[in-house]
Amino acid sequence: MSDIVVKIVAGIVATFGFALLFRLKPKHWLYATLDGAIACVFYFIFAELFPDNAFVPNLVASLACAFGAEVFARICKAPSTVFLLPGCIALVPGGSLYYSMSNLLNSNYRDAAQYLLTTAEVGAAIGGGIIIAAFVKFVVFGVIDRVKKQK
Amino acid sequence: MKKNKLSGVDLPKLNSAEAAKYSADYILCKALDIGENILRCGGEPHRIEDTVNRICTAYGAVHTDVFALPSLVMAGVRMADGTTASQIRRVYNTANNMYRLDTLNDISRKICSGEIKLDDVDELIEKATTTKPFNRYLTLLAGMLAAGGFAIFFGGTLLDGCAAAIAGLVVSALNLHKLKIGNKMLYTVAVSFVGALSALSIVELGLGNNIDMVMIGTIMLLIPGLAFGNAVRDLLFGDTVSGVIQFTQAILTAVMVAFGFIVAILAFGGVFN
Repeated sequence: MSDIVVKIVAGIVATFGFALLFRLKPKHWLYATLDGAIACVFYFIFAELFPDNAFVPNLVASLACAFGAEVFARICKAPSTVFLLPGCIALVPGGSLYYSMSNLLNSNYRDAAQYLLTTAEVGAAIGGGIIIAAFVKFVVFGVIDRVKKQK
Repeated sequence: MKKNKLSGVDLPKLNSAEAAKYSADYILCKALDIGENILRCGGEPHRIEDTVNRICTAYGAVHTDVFALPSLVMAGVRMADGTTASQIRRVYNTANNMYRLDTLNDISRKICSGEIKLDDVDELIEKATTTKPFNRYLTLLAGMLAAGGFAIFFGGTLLDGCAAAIAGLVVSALNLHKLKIGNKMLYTVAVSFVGALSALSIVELGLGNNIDMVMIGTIMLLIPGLAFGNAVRDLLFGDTVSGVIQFTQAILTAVMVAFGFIVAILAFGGVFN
């Protein structure tokens, strides 16, 4: 358990680093880091629930992160990308990309292919989470707009 | 009434007296100035399409067609009096800069609401693209935090984190000075090579015990962030062409990073096993 806490803290620190690398305004740093924390926490909760599955934890985490980004975007009156980009960075499959490369170098083609597929799967899961959040947002705003018109 | 393509929300219009002062070419030029700069600092193609569409509609265009790719924006407008204009912008280099994206987005929103006159746009864009949100040397610290954090995040020890932080410092120092080595792909190979080499040297010197964790921390700085996720999102949004381009770019960059790392590992020899 303490292992996971250390990992979450490390993920939050790394998210803050990327918030700076992406040149966020200082007043957005806190929210972006918070968004990264949401992604890390959801990722580890669902990684515990689905231990053999790479798709579900990443999908849920990126979905939560995208919703968080939308909320923070309303609070700060900024585009949601500002918070989404650093927030989701902890989900980027750098580990499996590295292992597929190192296995390729050692001629373990079966492992290399497996890690490569995991990389693609995680990438698709992140994209999927973001698209679900965007879809929900557009539906909600479409409904609000209709209701406003009818009044 | 024109509608936003995704949400179906009506786009706002300015009063016709304000809009009638400008020619179609002038309005489109200013709209594309903003769109082009948003694309340069890492905005998604559909955001550029939306921005240009909104500004042109606010200034009285009855018909706007915008098509944005990760490296190109083209747009055509038709005004109420029947005059038309079309312009194309080519973008060569993009880099994520959320400060600029935020500021430009704000400018475009204020143009649409009439708070900013079109004549002041040049000055504001100039200001947005030249000011920096904080001291640029802070990005060195950011690179250290990011690389070190990810080394621990992926299962390394504290010492691995310190080792990765030093490698991250090297990588972000290279990025800070934007060394011009050929095109973007060659530059990625070169930076990956140097980053991997410094990670290997640090571990060889005795700091950190898991070479893979140190390397992963360094790799996270180099692979194009969410490019793959963004590509999937664009594909699912219906921006097929820009999705495919981003997909190809993401895979190519990942291959280039891997190539730089492999060369460094081979150059170092032996360490790997």
